[in-house]
Amino acid sequence: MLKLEQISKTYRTPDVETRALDAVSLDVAAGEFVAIMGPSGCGKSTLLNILGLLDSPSSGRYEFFGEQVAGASERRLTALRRGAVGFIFQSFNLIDDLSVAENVEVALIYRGASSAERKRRVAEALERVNVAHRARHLPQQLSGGQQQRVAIARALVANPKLILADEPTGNLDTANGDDVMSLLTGVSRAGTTVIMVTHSLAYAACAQRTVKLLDGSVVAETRLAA
Amino acid sequence: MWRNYFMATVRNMARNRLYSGIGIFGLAVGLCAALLTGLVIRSELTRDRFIPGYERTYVAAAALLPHGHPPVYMMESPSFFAGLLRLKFSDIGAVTRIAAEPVRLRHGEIEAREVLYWADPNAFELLPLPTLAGDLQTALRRPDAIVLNRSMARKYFGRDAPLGETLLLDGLHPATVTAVIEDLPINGTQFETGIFASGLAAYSNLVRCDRQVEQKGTKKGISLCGRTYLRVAPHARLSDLQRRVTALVASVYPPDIPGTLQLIRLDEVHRFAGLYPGNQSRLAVTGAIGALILLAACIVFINLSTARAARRALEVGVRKACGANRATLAVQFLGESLLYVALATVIAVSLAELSLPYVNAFLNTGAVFDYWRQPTILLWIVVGAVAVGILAGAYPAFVLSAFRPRDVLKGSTLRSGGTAARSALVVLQCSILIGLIIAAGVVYQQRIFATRDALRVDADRMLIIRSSCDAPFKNALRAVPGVRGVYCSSEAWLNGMTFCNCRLKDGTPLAVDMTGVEFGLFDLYGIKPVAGQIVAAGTSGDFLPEHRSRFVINETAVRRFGFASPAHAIGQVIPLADGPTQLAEFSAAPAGSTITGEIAAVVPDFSINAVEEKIRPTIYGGSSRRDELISVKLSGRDIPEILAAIDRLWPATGSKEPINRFFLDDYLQNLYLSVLREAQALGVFAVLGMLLASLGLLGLSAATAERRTKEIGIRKAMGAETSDILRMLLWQFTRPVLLASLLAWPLSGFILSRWLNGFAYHVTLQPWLFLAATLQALLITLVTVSGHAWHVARAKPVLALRYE
Ligand SMILES: Nc1ncnc2c1ncn2[C@@H]1O[C@H](COP(=O)(O)OP(=O)(O)OP(=O)(O)O)[C@@H](O)[C@H]1O
Ligand SMILES: [Mg+2]
Repeated sequence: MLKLEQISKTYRTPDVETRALDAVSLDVAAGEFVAIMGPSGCGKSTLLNILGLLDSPSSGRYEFFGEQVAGASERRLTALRRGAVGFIFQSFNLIDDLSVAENVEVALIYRGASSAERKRRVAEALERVNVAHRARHLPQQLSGGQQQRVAIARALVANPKLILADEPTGNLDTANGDDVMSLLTGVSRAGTTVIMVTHSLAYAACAQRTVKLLDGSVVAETRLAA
Repeated sequence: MWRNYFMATVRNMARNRLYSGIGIFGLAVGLCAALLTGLVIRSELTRDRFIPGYERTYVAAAALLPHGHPPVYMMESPSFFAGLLRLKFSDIGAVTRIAAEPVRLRHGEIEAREVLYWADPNAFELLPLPTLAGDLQTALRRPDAIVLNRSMARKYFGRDAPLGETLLLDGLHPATVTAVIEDLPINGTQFETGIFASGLAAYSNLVRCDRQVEQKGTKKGISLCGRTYLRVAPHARLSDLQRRVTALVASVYPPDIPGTLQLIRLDEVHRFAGLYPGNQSRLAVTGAIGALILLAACIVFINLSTARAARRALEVGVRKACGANRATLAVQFLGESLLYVALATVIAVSLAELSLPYVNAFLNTGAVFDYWRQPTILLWIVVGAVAVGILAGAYPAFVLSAFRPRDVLKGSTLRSGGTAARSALVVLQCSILIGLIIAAGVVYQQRIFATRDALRVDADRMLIIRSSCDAPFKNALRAVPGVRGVYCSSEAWLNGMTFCNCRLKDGTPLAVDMTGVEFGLFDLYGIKPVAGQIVAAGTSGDFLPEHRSRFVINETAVRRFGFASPAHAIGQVIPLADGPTQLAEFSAAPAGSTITGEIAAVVPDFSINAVEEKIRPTIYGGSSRRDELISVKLSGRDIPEILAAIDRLWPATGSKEPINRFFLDDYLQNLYLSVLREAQALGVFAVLGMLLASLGLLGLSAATAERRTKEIGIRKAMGAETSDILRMLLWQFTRPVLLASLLAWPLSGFILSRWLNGFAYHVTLQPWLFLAATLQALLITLVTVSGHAWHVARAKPVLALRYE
């Protein structure tokens, strides 16, 4: 359902040209749990951004749930992304001025759900990640682990087909990291496709498949026997 | 260490060219506006203060007290009072009279009309004007003496000190130059023309006035001639002197001419409300608006510097982590702010210097920016600039420097108190903008109203000739092709300055205007009677005792005379007390008239005079002997030809003076010049306010959009469209405008209704104007910020998220 063919991404600044991705080809099937690993600066975040339609590749072809999206308009990308993809970031990326519940709600408001419906689903999602009691707090008033769980609630609340997580445990201690991983594994078990960037071999082991990047290219792939 | 801070400042300035530019430019504009209004106000407050001893020099202005109306003031006074005052009061040191008169001056080829001041020989004792040549103390002792100012001396003689030279006065009287004074400040004195001639001359105005008084006595009416200046002794108590002067005046005139002499200090004449209505409030309004503009500029500046400072939180964090203490950081931010202000001040001072001549020309003021002579101005500018700098630097200095490095370095964005304060400032600024727009609108409406609606007469193509109502001339005028009608009136038709302090039959005192007209005038001016009939050619009433005949009165007179309706008044006798009634007036004219006649018609209230005054009850009566104006209604075409034809008729009247004619429209324009200028000045200020507001919003939208970059990125990642983001950003700026309206509406409504109440006839405040001002402010806001918002909203989400 996700099909990358010869995807390249080049960043140009006046003095240097960085080739962040170099002819990456990758297939992800529905319901798969994929871990992406590699040293810092090898292009993991870039790949994830392209997969999540936050960015467009410089060249190559990308089939997103059956639709060719390389070169599609920003508008089209937004429409495809809306509701189909949930994001989890290393630095949580919660909106400081909104409460926990409002932050989660952001993932729903651009999809035309009614207010009552939104309330219900937000409450459900917060319940699921165990921060319902903090719904009215501001992000700063939460610990890092709690903030990341809010971010996961936000990613899940719209029931996306694809969840992209960029080092979701990078800012967390082991206990909190474990919590996050168990949430993600649960989501994957429920049938959602999850692609996760991680530096931790242990957490990569939770995935069914690990893709290793080096200098913008896929250098190895391991599959866990089902 | 300071070098490091300085480099940080300069780099920060360069990096934030947009903010720095907007902040400095806005502040410069605001400072410039404040400086200019300050200079204008100072010049108005210091009129004639260049004359040594002005503190003890007063003008005795005539005040007449019509029953039931505010007093009427005139700069001039009856001429015999000068001697009387000097004689009666020991605490009046010297008294002198000065009477202005237009004359023709000639020397050789050069001839021109000038206004000349006939002055008593001791005039310069009281008014020691700066002398260029000759001795002012003795200059006016010979009857043929004339004193010129420098530019007049140059104009007629081509040099500065033509002492002993001769000028021909009105082609008849030679006058010898005995002294030359410096040019007096333009628009800064009541002796504008600077030409003085000895009042001893037999043909001078002063001698003519004295002779008139001798002939007519003083008991009948007040005739004004020249201004009376007096210098009081150092120990004199003015309130006491004023009381004694009033008592003296009362003892001279009969009780039905209540009046007094109002002593006004030399430098306060131009601000005296009775003589120059509105000047005082105009000064206050100017000052207030100058202050508002400065406030708006400061808000822009403060907002931008705090927005900028918030972005430097990291610098604060790092510096603190490296051991900087709060004080050094505070000093750094204050220093930065002062550096910006200093730049803005330099720009503002240069702008003010460049634009001052235009401002003076526009406002008819004589403001000077003479900081080299008055270093206190510089001191004030420096003090003001430092105050603004500290104000603007205070938030970053005291709030930012207090950040704990842990919070800052942890990267939590600064959503602290700064945002709330900044929003409050934006609201304040928007409300200034909305208030200015409303004010400009109301003043404009009032101006239109004053010149058109309140007039209620047809002033179109109405030519007025100052002339006695000479029948052959009138007939000749009627024969000119293109002339539709010609009728005469007294001067009171224009200025309403002839009134009697009459009494009603029941004894109630009542001031009634007496206006001499030919009844055809009403039709000429498009005034239709509301009751009765006006027969243009029929028997007309007369104020003179020998006639009993018919009058026209206005609706106010109907009410004040106690008639139930205009129709009830028709055919009635004018219900003023029997017996001769004193006719008090300002021009030299026969006094003492009885009004016995019946009312032929009632016309609506109208006044060609300023809207500041209420229309008094008025009796219009025909009078051939007192006609001073000829109104000539022209048809639309070939106006230059018609005027030329009229000018050709003039010599036949036998007048030695050239024809004095003007269009009523121009006269009215002039009359309402102050309202017009006020409207225009407010317009300029409103535009300035708009400029500043948009600058502030522009900077602020850039700052907030930047602050919200992460949020925008997240929302886009969640599937927000560009339009969603755009809407969000624009709404963010719509809110302060709406809040500002809540603040600005009641406040400006209150102030403007007070301003309007200064006019006897005025427009009412209309709600749509308030809505329109808000809409306009919204429009300005959206236009200003939408460009930036569009740019930000379109950006790719990754770029925003990478910010973290
Ligand atoms: N906007 C950009 N402009 C220029 N170069 C960029 C940009 N974004 C990423 N790069 C470069 O592209 C390369 C890949 O970056 P990417 O963020 O994908 O690395 P990463 O694998 O996620 O690293 P890390 O593990 O540190 O997060 C890096 O060399 C980076 O410098
Ligand atoms: Mg990364």
